[in-house]
Amino acid sequence: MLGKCHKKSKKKLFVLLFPYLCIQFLRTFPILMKHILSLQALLSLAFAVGITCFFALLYPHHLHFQEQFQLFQFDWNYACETMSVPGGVAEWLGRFFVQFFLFAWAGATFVALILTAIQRLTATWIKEKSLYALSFIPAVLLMVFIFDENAKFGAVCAVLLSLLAAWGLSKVRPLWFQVALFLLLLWPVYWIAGPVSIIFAILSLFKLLPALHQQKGLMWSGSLLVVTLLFVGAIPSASHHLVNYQLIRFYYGLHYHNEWQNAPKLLWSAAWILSLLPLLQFLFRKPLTKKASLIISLSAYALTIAVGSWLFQSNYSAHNEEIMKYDFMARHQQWNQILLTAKEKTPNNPLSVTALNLALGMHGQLSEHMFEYRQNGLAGLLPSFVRDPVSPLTTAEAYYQLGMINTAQCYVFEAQEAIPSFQKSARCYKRLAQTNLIRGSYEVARKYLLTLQKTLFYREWANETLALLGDEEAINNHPEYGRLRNSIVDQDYFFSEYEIPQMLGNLVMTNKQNRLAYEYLEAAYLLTGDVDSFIQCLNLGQEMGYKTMPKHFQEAYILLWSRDHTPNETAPSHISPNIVQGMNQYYTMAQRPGVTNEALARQFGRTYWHYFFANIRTIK
Amino acid sequence: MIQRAFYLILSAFLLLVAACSESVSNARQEQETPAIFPDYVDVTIPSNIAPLNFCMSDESALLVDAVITDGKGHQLHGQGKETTDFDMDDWHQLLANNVGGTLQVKVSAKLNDGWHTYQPFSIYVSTDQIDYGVAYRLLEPGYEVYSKMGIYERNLSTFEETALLENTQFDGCVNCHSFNRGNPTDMSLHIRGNHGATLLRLGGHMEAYNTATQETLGSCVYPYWHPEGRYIAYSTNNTRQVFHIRDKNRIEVFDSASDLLVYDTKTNELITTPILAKDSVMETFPAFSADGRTLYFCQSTNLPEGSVEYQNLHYNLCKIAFNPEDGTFGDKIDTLLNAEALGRTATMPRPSYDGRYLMFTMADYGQFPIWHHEADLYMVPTEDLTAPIDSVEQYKMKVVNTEETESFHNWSSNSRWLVFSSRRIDGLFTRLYFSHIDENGQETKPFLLPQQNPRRYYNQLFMSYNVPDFITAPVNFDNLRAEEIIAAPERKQMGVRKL
Repeated sequence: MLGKCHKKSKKKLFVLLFPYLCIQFLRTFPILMKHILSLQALLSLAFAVGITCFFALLYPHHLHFQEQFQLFQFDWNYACETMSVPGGVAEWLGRFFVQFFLFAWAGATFVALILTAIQRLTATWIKEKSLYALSFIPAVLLMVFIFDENAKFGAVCAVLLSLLAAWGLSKVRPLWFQVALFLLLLWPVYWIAGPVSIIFAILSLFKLLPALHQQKGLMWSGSLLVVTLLFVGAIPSASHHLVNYQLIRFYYGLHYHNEWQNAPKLLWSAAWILSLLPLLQFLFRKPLTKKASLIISLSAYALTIAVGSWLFQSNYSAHNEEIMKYDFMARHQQWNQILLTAKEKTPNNPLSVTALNLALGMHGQLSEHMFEYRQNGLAGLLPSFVRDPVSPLTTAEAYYQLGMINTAQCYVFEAQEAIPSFQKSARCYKRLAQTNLIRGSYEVARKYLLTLQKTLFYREWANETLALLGDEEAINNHPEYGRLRNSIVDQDYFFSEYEIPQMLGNLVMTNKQNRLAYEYLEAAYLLTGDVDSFIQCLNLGQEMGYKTMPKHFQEAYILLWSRDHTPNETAPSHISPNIVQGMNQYYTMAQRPGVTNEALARQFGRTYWHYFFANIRTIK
Repeated sequence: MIQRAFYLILSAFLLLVAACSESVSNARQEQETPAIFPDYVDVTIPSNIAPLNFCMSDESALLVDAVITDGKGHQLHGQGKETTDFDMDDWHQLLANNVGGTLQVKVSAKLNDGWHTYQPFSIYVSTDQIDYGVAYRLLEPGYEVYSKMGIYERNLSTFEETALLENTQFDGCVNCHSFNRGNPTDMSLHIRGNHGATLLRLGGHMEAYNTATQETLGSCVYPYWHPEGRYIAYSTNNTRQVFHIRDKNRIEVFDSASDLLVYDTKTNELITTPILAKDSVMETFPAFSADGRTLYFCQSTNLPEGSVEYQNLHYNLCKIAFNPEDGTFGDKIDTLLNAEALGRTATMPRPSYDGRYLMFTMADYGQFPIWHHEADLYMVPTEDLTAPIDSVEQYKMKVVNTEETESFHNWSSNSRWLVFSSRRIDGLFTRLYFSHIDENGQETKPFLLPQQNPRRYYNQLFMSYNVPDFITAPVNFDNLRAEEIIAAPERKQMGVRKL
């Protein structure tokens, strides 16, 4: 009763206040617009929205890609370890944000916020309003910097922290205290942000030197410059005595880029441009006329847009995004999504083809549709091991789904070990926990799960999986783990990349329900042109529950049949007349003088015959 | 005045801290000894070991409380949410006062239903001290690719671990560290990768060597110092890996060829002899006897070309005479243990420095027992080595072995302590254990390398301890100098002296 009364009075109050609030809003809106939502602020807002939309809609898998190669933990030891090196705080902050990259919109929003914050802080160092557009250049450089999958977001955070430190110092008074604080902060800011803290040093000097020169004379300002130069030169070298990394990395940055042997150009370009922007104030000491201001302003915008467009064009890679997309979809077992994506555009990268073949196999469609897409032999089915963190992960997905759990575990482990920054990976930990759980190594699985419990987005899964440990019945009845346990071969042998069909055959003989293994086995034979072995295993298909012979199997069968039979003979009844007709047409066309491979591909590119004669053997 | 105020504040602080620890009240008396991690129940420890902090195995325990009492009634109390957290100084004082004695440990745990007190257990303080520390490699238990790794030293009296060299300092991998009977002045260290080298520190002077020569198989690995310090025995191995598709043992590491060599530090020559470099036979894991006149090693017949029957690789334990005066070998190899005949493999012989025992690892087959769950430690009195051993089971160590891997082992400089690596906690990550070997050769229940908070430490450590070796003093390794030497292209080439 009391609640109802309370609700009524609230409603009354709202009805009375609403018109008043509307009037007040309309009155203050222009003032708001003038002071808060200035043109500059609107541009920054547009910049932020643009970045968000770009990363969320056009480049989301670059974000996902970054996320999978780290394991951010809410753990004191983890924080201390990360922050114990120069640039460690920025790195920790970068990793904190990167964990949100698992969700593209969240990741894109954080990227946009940080880049916009950098742009706004940059703008505070440009006194001449007509040059405002130039404040976007460092942020654009940094945005393009993270297009590179080896770039670390911590580097962007390092720039932000350096700018914040410089901005904070600029607010300190009196001058002597500011100078003392500056000198005191040189090393801590280096430790927080790493070598891009040079931004802090230079920007602060632009403030301090003229002021000191004015108040105390050349002696003092000169001394400050010399002391700063000595500090800046000595700090990386001194840090080298405290932390075990190569000396050069203390100058290039320990964690800015995975390829640490070279200084990341875009990052350092941003850092130097940012540091030297205040020089412009010396060029524009006198007030500009309206016309001059307009011309300079337009030129600055034009320059910014030109630089931005050029950087964007030269660093944007739709190709890489596609590879990452396939890997992301395979990771999350989005088999339907993979098939839809492939229908829109046939993948031509080995890794994408691996993911596509796996998706086809998971849907039992490998034997029906695999040659409708570009194939590249066994490398597109189960690629050889490569010592990098990317390729083995997609391959491991295939081995995992096939039931080759030890192999999947090995590939995932090695992929994680190959992460250049020596970080661990949440994706890998998850899979390693799963493989150990399936294999019954519960204590090892538990170890991985306990670490995943310290993460934000894997905690829930870790808790659920921890409950499974040791519960044989639950694991055996689990739709994924139970199936995979049943797929593990009975007899041990050594893995060999050169004996893929034999290993797949063992999987099939172990578990006749393992249709994926059967499809892979036959696919392996077809891809290598071993049609005889393919035919030998055809009968297994009936045991595996195939009611009719899949399309590509029919194509391969009739191909082999045609070797020993004339076109006039009647083809076996289990081969569709359309396939027989297609084969005859293919032969006729292929033997026509002057017919090109492209012409054949246009008409028969989706058949096994075309793959066979284009890749395995030339037609006689 | 200031001093008094300081002590007053300090006392108040200590009182406050003491007040924070909860007293054990209304405890239910349990009839069994506590299940604790690490299992320190009834272990024998040296008097200079770091505090044996432990946690309740039951992770739901809210508090763990331990009272250690010596024969004279002195007590040490430790309590914590996760671990007992004994005071370092008080611990060392207690141990120093009880050398050769027994400590009684009464453990109480606060569970959801209140306090439980368990039957006390004993800790025996040996009269034999342990060396200053251990040096080891820490790396992920991986396959071919490696992430961050390094060689570290650990002070056994404290929890302090220091990195000697990490692969963040160069592009490559670091392995095969070795000291002469724990003396860190003489050190051998191998670097693999683009900057591959063998770092030798002789009498404090460090230099990078190229140990690969035209006349030998490749780089030198598995070093073992001659007791006089002049020679280092190495093997040179073509090592491969294959991966099990189903077996509990994940990986098989094996050699396709290997030979033995002895490096003479005086002449900068690798001494080779045909008897230790046969093509059909693989020799590996050399170790000098305590008197330096015998070289123990392992030997196996090579598999036929192209064979993958690695389960047929069985290494026998062998020896050959060595003359340190002129660096020559005897003319025959004696097989001490024909492991092949027993259907087993014997690897990593390690003679005690007092010359009384030879310890080695036995597994079902192969050359790399660390990846074999069945691998166990065996210890043979030297006097039993005068004739070939027919039966080996009586030499299997009764207390230190478990169902899981026990492998790489080394002796303390007084030959009374044994360090070995074991995968007994989870079956994958090797951890260091120590066991006392008394004057009668009796082993004691091993104890895990102590940590400040053992559960947290070992749960969070995803690296394995590798090749532990005792050190008698801090290594004082100049890692910046080492970094320079490794990065520089210069390598001192080892010569070859063929016998």
